[in-house]
Amino acid sequence: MSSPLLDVQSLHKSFGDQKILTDLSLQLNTGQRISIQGPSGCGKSTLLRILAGLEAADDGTISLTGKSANQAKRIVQQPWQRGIQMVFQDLGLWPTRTVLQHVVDVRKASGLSNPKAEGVKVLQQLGLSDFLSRRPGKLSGGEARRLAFARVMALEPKLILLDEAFSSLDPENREQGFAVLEQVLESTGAAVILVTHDPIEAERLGGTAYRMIEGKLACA
Amino acid sequence: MIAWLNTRSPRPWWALALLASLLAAWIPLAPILAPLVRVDRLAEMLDGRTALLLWRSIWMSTGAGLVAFLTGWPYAIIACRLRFPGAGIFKLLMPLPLLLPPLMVAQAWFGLTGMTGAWASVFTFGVCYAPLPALLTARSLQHQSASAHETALLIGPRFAISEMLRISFLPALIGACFAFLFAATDFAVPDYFATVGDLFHVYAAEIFGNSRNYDYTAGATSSLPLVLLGFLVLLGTANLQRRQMNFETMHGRTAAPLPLRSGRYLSLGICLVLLVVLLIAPLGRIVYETGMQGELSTRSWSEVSSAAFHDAVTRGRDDVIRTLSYSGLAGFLCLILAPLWAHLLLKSRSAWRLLLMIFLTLPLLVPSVALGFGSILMFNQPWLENFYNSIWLPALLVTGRFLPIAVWILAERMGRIPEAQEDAAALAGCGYLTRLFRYRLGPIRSAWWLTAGLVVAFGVRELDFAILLPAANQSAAVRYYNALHFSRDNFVAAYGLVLALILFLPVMLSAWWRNLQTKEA
Repeated sequence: MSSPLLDVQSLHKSFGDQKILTDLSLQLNTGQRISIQGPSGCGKSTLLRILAGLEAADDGTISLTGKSANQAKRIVQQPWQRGIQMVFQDLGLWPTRTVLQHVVDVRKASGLSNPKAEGVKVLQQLGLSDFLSRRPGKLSGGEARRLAFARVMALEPKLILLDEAFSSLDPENREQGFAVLEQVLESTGAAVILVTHDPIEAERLGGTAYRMIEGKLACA
Repeated sequence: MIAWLNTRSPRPWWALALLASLLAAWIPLAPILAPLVRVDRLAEMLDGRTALLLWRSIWMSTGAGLVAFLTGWPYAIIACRLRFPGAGIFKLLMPLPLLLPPLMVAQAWFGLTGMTGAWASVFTFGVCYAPLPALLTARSLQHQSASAHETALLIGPRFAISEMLRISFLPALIGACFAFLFAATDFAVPDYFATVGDLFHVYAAEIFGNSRNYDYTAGATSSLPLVLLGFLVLLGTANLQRRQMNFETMHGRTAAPLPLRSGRYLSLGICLVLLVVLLIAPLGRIVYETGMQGELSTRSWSEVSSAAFHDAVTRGRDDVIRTLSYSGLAGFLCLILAPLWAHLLLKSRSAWRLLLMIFLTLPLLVPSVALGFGSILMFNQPWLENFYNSIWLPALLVTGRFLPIAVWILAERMGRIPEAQEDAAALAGCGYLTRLFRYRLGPIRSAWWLTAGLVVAFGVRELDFAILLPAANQSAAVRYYNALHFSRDNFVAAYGLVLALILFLPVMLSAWWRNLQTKEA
């Protein structure tokens, strides 16, 4: 039997005296969808940051396709070695780079083939081909969100982490955002973990829905 | 009375701040700008010889800006955004070289290497002003969106570093432009290197030369080309700053420094080398010079050094006290004026803001020696005799010249406090001063004190107009200048170190206070 894409066992994390994650375990297979709901400050974003390798856990293990990524406090696989991409609430676009550079640069840096041709293709798919030379500051909110997803799509990740990526959007824009996400998932076949405080988003994503309660995951 | 002072409208207070700047900075500027209304005199100003001097100033300052850029930019990126042993200390020491008087740095590097002439001036100015690109780089990296940095980190560390380079390039360039301007308007360093070695005359020295025959009008008007140069560079930097604003976020998390494995000792090495060049080598040389002695001397280094320090304190005490008096007064004035100015800038629309920025900043960019000439011409009047000879005049000039530094720092920090806090106070009926000082300045009190401390430090360091003004003649910087020119003894070195200690004090105290607050939080 092949290893799951992501296998998290007994994860612990505290900030000072405050316990954020307590003995948290989670498994995820290729193409699977998971949503994690919970109030602000319950540790949802911290979990994603630990999964991405941006933060170290205090204890527990994380394996990606059978390879150890975290061992207790030690980060074994660096963030860029994990094949994970993340979309933040504020999107994390690079203000100095144009739309085209956002996708071409990341493909080049990741050693993927045909950076320009594939990059343009991705942008065309997500309806950004008219804005190739624009910088993020000159894009509308919806266009900027599509660019954030285009960047992820261009990198062909195995796992996409969405950190409140649709929060603060009105229903219409949220629906557009999900439509873009569907395109990305269809194109890459990636698994996805969405953290949100909104049950509507969790329902819209589909897949398995969890709630984070006292640092652990429970079925919603 | 108090109710009247605490009026709800900010306008009377903003008018007061503008009036104070007019008096402190723009009245002395008037004789410098006077030839602008006489085009015929403007054309006469630059003959072949003076045009050559101006060209020399420009290339010397360009070189200095380049050195500042190449040392300050990497230093700030490494110290602020890479995780390696001692990074915090390098960050803490970053502003200190800016506080060292350039003349002292020149003295140290001449002692260390024997360098003289044009290249020595380029190098000295470059290392003196390297903190400008460094500090602006550090500031821009602090405003880089943490999520943008982390997204780059998911691609790879090189990619994340290249993004840091892109984000901080323009601020470093702006810092280099300021280094250019400060180098172009300083006469003392090229003058010093010219006296100890190869003759090297620049335009600022030409302006200062007018003081020898007491031709103050010529001194003021001849500085116009440098003022215009400063104005052009200021417009250029304002444009760069406007572009940079699109790349920064004022709110949200600050990205954590990048953890390094093999590269951390390389980073430590690069930072250490740069710090040695910028701070440790010049200070070390000056410390050595305090106890340096002739071959026939029978006293030990420490005996000579302690005698020199004793001498520096006893002979220079009165000058230090006078300097601290007028600089302290200027610091106090800035405590009141800088918040008003900073708030005015934050509340102004962009076109007005640009005009106000030029109005505020130009006095910092004109040659200080020209400001001295302008003050003599405007304030040396029989009916102003008491004012002219009091410490109020140098205090006013220090205020006018260095207020922009205080305003920039405060505007930057005040801009990070949510506008809603002040709006809520206004809705609750609070007067303007309460809103400003309690809600806008309250959370950033340490930065407010730091700005006053910096104005005091720059006032102590100020040499060029102090040489000209009778009220500032008995100042620490002038005593140091005279001592250096007339003899090169242990006293000069010890006195320089005493000054350096005074100059470092505000920054070190502020860092200590900030540390204390962080620990308490």
